[in-house]
Amino acid sequence: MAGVNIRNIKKSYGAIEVLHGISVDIEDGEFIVIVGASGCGKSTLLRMVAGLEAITEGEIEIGGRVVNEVEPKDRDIAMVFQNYALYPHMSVYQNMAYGLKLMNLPKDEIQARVDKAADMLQIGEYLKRRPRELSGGQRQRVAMGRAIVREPSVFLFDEPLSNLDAKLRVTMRLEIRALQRRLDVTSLYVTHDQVEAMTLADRLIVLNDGYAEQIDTPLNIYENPASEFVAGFIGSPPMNFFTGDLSTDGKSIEIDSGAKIAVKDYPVGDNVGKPIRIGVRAEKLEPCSRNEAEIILKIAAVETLGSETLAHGFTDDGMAITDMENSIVVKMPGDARPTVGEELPVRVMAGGLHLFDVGTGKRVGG
Amino acid sequence: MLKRVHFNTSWLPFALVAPQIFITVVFFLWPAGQAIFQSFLLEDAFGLSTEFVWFDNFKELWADDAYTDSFSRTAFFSLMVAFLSLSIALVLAGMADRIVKFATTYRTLLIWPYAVAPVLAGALFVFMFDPTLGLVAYALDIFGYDWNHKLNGGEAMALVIMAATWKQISYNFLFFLAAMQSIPKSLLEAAAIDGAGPARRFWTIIFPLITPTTFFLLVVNIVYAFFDTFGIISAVTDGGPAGATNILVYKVYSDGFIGLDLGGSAAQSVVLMAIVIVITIIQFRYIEKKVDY
Amino acid sequence: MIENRPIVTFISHAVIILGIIVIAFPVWITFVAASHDALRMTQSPLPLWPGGHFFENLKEALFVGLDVGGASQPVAFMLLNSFIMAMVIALGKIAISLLSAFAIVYFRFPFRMGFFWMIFITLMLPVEVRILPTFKVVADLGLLDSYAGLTLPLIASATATFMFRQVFLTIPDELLEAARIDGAGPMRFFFDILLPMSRTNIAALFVILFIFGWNQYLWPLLITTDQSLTTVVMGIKQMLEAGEQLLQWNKIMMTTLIAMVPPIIVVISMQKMFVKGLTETDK
Repeated sequence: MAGVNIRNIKKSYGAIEVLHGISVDIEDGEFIVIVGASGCGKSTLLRMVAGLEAITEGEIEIGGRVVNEVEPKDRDIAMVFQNYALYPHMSVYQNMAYGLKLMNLPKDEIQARVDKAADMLQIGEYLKRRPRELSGGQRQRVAMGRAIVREPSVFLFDEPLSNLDAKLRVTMRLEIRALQRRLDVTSLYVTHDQVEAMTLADRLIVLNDGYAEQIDTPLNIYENPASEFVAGFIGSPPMNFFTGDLSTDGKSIEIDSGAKIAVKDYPVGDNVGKPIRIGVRAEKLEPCSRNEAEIILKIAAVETLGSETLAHGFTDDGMAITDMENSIVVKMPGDARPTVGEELPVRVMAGGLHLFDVGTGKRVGG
Repeated sequence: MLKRVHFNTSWLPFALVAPQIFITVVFFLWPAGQAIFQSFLLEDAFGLSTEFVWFDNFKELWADDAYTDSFSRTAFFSLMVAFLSLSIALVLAGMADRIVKFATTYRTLLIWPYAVAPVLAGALFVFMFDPTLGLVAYALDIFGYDWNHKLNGGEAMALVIMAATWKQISYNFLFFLAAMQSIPKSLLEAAAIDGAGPARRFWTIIFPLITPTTFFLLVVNIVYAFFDTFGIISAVTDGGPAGATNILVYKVYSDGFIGLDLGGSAAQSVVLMAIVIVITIIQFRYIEKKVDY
Repeated sequence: MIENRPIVTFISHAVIILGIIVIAFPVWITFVAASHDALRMTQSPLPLWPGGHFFENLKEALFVGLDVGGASQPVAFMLLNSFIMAMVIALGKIAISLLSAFAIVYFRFPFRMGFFWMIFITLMLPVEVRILPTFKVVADLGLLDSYAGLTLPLIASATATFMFRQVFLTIPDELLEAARIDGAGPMRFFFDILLPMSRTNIAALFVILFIFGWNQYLWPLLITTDQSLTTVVMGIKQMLEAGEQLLQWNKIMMTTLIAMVPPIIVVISMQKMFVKGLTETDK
């Protein structure tokens, strides 16, 4: 068991820097999820911890030992790959035992470890099969089994669920989390799926373009996103954004369509009289009567999901069909029946407002 | 081109490529360099004196009718072999592609000549066409044709073309069949629904779609006819009669080892090298890219 | 098949069968010739149907051979030479190509591309093109009339190296990463993972290279004068030359048959591998 300390890690390929100094201290037994869009450097970071990628600058410690120059096999880690990377010509048993054999463990010890892991993952009956004879979920389990038998101090997961179908992904997500709790092993998990990130993590690292935008618990990130990027990335449906001007008294914001949104007690700092970005989550926009309304939306599309209803609207008439990604989403109860074309007056609920600097995208106030 | 992750060992990769590189340098690059060097030298038959003569050996080659004749003879031979073996293989593959039943059996029965050494192919044809005893020569005699490839240059050429073609059909057949079978069935079904009959489908869909394979095979066949037919010539005619089947590879050998004309043979080697290089470049430049659907 | 046209199908079968017959005809009469006695093979027209001397001829060819200018070699002996040469060439090519492809794909080292191009160039230098100087090199190295001289110069192969390179490139990077985490060093990875994963390609290539080696003619002809190194393919040529006077077509054709059969058996029995090897090395 060991913690992982990442200190100002940088990675460059030639002249191009892809990671610009990431620092995080991961406690023993913690489940850390690194989340970000593709190409943000999240896999690179994980692979540097694994020792598969050279460290350009900075230090990585595993269990208090600097491992920058340590071979992957000696880092006391195990890794689960996106495509599982099972050896196709070996049986499930051989796949799991291979690393142990190279550690020169005695045969009965190997047997015991593999059996134990197979038992835990319920793959005992497949031990003699080849990977290609297994389903996606079974392969996934074997890949986990291969990691478990090493009894490492740190698990590394590189998008392990992205090759599975949606339903299986949910099941495996729960299994991974339960397994990690049971084994109590420090884990780093890379994903681009924010639902996976939210549900698995003790703490999240949100990466954007090689910078760690925010490192915090999922709920803190959801409730207090540190930047517009984080706010837009975490949460489904994504947060709604407007651009507006903060009034000189700091009490309201006038958005482009002329609507006014009350700032209430949000600490706006020295931004009075300046343009500002407003973010409101879909569930924080509540339909109301016309005279209470802060924004009047014209509904362009309705998604009825049963448990809830999502109304997509625009503040003006310019509702091009192809512009849906910029629509304002309002989350309504499952029995609500908004219709396309009708006007929907909404207001921002208490505590629903997030303000971001127009230039830097950083959060304004608390 | 390269893997994302590498092993970091300083001497191991060198040790790994060493055997290949050693053999390449000693038996390929060094001799090739020697050939180029030699081609600029004039050496007397006893090897006592050598003189640097620049391009004289090449000039002499081009001035030598025997060589230019051999050149055009080789071109004729190669084109004939390529054309015949491609056409026959195309017909057979086109037929086999239509047949689901027995297709693999037919394939088995057609591919084995690939395994026959060129010399042996030559021996088979020498035996069949032997002027005094050969069965085919006998049959021709019945029809009043007096076959004697030992005296008649045209007949000798025909015989080596036949032997070379015979050996190459199986190779072309395999590639044509594979190419045809990789055409999606839905495409042919669509054409059939559009009203195209079997022959029309072949010429308007199958044949255009296998163009990359056809071009590839054309190059391979020409290379084959240029370089791999030494054994056939050697077994059937020894380049004769009167040089009628003396193609370039055979001439390099006979001038070098029998005629002992080192400079001339080296110059011929260099010309052959240039031909292979040009063909290789064509193969990589045009065929790999342009004719690819 | 798309539509049911019995006539077209019948023609297809007929054309193929005709093709098979025409292509097989030379081999048939070879077989026929090999089954008659020497006397019958001097009488025109030659037979079209097998005679009763096949095994007698087989035995004589295999263990006595044809009297070629006094230096007679039993064909069985030549077969052994052919087999050794074909095996050494095939296995040698595979071994050195595997190693160099492994180095080129999995290591970053100085002159990597230089080595790659050196190997590439061999593609453009078939033995026929550089016979004389290569012969000189072999002679200077004192390798004339030796198995080494017979095989080494034919062992370098760009196509095999390229094929293995291609195979290795399709093996996911993650396997190497997983192996490294499992603690495998380069050679262990090579033997435990790469080799077993390439085994069908190795087998396919082996078929092609065995035939290539077995059928070598020009090179052995040049560098061996010693009768004890004669391969069966070379033996045919010697017999053809001598046979014209001796008129022993039955034994010549028997030897031809014997020389043809091993590679044909390899091709037909490993047909799948053969087709794979052919299409993957050349394309």
